[in-house]
Amino acid sequence: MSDRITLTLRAPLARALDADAIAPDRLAALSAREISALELWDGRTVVALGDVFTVSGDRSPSVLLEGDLAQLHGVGTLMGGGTLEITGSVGNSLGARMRGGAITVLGSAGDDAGSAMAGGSIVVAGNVGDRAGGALQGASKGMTGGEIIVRGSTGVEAGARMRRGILYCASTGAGAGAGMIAGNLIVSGTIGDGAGAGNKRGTIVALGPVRVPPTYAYACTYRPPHLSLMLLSLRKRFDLLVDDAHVHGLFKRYSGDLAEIGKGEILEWQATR
Amino acid sequence: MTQLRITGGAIHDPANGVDGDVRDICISDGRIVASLPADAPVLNASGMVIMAGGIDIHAHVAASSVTLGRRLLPEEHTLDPAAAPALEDGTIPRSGTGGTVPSTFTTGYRYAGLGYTTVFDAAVAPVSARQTHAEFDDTPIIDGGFFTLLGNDEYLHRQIAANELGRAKDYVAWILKSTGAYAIKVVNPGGVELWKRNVREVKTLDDPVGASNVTPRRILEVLASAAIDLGLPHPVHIHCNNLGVAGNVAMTLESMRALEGRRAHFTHLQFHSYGGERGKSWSSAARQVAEYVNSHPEVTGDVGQVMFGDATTLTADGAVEYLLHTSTGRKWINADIELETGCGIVPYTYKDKAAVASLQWVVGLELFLLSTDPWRMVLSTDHPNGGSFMSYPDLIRLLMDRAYRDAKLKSVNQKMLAGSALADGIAREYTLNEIAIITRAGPARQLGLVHKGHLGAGADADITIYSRDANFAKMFSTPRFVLKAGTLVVEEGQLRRAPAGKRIYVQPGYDDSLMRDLGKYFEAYSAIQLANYPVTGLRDTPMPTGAA
Repeated sequence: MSDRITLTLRAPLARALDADAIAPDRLAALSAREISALELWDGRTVVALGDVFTVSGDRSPSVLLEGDLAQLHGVGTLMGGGTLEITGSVGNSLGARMRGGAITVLGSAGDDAGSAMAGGSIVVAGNVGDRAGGALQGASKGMTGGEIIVRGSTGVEAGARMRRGILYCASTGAGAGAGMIAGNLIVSGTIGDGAGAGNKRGTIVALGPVRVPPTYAYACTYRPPHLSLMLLSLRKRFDLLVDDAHVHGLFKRYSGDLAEIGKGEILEWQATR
Repeated sequence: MTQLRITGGAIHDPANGVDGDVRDICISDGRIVASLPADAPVLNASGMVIMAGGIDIHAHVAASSVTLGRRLLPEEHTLDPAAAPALEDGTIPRSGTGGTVPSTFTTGYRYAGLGYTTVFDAAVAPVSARQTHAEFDDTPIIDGGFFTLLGNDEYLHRQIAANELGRAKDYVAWILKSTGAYAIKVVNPGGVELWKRNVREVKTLDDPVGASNVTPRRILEVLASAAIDLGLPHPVHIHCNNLGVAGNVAMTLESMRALEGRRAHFTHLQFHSYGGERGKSWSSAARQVAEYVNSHPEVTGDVGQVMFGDATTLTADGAVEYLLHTSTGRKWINADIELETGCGIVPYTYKDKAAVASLQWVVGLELFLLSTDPWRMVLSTDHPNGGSFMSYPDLIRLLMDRAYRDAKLKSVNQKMLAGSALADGIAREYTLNEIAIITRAGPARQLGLVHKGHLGAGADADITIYSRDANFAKMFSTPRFVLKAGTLVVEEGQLRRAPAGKRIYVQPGYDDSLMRDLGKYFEAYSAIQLANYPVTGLRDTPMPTGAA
């Protein structure tokens, strides 16, 4: 048993590899040899993990992945606990359907990060691709719990069809939080077009500019007390640059989507003099 | 010539009056024989339970609707990937996807893994029969057949309107022959045609469908008679009007009375046995339906049990699917299959916390437990409508284990259960022989499959061998050995071989004078040329038809 398991990429990846075998709670039960024998998929061919990574350490719920892993997909799928740290960038479906534990990425992540996740946290220092915190293809619900913190930008449909949980990012592409059932999408910068389209419930917090869809109606301007608490908590736990002016700020509340049941909201921060 | 002697197992073969006797079963060349030379290879089944291979009389596994269902549900594919099995017989093992609507190969592997060796698809639009044959070709191990939809067929309705009943019968025969189907299926007679005309409900059996003399009653009569006159092995297979609607028991009993004295199979009766009143109240009417079936030997049925969990409702009954979509808000498909029928699909979850789902669960169990003749009330979940076929073992446990059933009954929503027979307490527990009847011998008899569902000399060597377990769900979910036509497909609980199954179908004769009129009809209305319509190249030998 060691403090940490370190997987270091032997050579740059020439092609996409499916790595849903890599999850810290599952690695925690394995020896170095067993970890090396785990199966990664290159198209329809199986590759041993040990042929792709050097493995040091064993039987630890703390895992470090080193190298440029932008073509390594499915890392942390169904992860239930432990910590996973990635020093570079990583591919698609990071932490898909994860239920617990913490993933930290120092680079960027691909599409479908935290897809249908139910618990735990994903913190990405760079950007993520499309559909962060979204639903599996065809499914009605996106993430049902947990937190995704993206210090950079997200692609299209961030938090779409979210059911519960928090997704925080600096900016989004189009369709952010579309079809939300519940949950919180907090954006510190610019939100793309079509935010909140088709939402049943759920909260989209716009600290920067947002174009409110025509199917949302202005309700009031107020200081949401729960939002102060949430922003303070996120700032403290994830070391986010949340301004006091946001924590204590006034927000315009828009109700929507009125083309749906209209119980959702967009909270647009108001700069005060 | 491959031979095998199975020794030491307790045999449950109700068709031959065998109830747990220990004796040898001899297999030669894919069939059961009376005896074998003493040096024939032996499979020791000491302490185990032996039954014929399971027969599913009503499932949706190989129709165009099933393919649409797969396309509608990519999330199920992500959640339940099915790895290729490790096969030893040289057939190429295929990976696939599971969920409520598994891919073709996975469907075959999983049915065989449960000890089922014959499956009928219950609803195939005639025009899509070619695809159904192609899908069965890709569904290994199980013997497959299908029922073809005729209750809302435009040409048939025209013949009824013109009182051309001879031509109607010839048309039925031509459709069966052209599609390679096994039996006649009626779904919501007249109701699908009315749905296409924006009429959402059939109120009585005498509602006009277009012409005043075309009614659900007439459609049932004409098709029931056609099945009898053509000497089909399986009678008309009926999905009544107003499926899933409170108070529909009146329509169900009226349909049964309309065909009194004629052989008829009423399917997924659970969905048709509700009392109460639409929009007001909802209760179990299983007792009335069971009483009718018990006292009318010409009627057979299957239950269509609802099992808690995910399901996919998938039917030719487009009107029902509209109701389900509007009540659940879930994604859906509704399609018009021109001239022939309709189609609708909605994924659905039966929750034990929900009042209606709990009532449905209770109604199904009541039909099983109040039926006095298991030969005529057999097991189905209308897969995947009431639940996946993978839930059959749990259903068997509910029937065999009263303590398990009563404990489960306490945990479901009680709101609509007042006065139901199950809530009042039913002590009955199915025996192993009764399970053998409702899962193999009964369906075989209802389907007229003389070589299946039993273990007498001459039967197909489709055999399932279970290890005894006090937990019947466990026992029936993992058979130790499964033989299909004498080949060991499951060995020590592992799928090892996946030979192709056979097609089960009929080729009844008809009077050629039909073709002139039908040709004109196709020219005027059909998108496909008459000459291109029939499926060609059917393999295997058709089942005989005609007067016995």
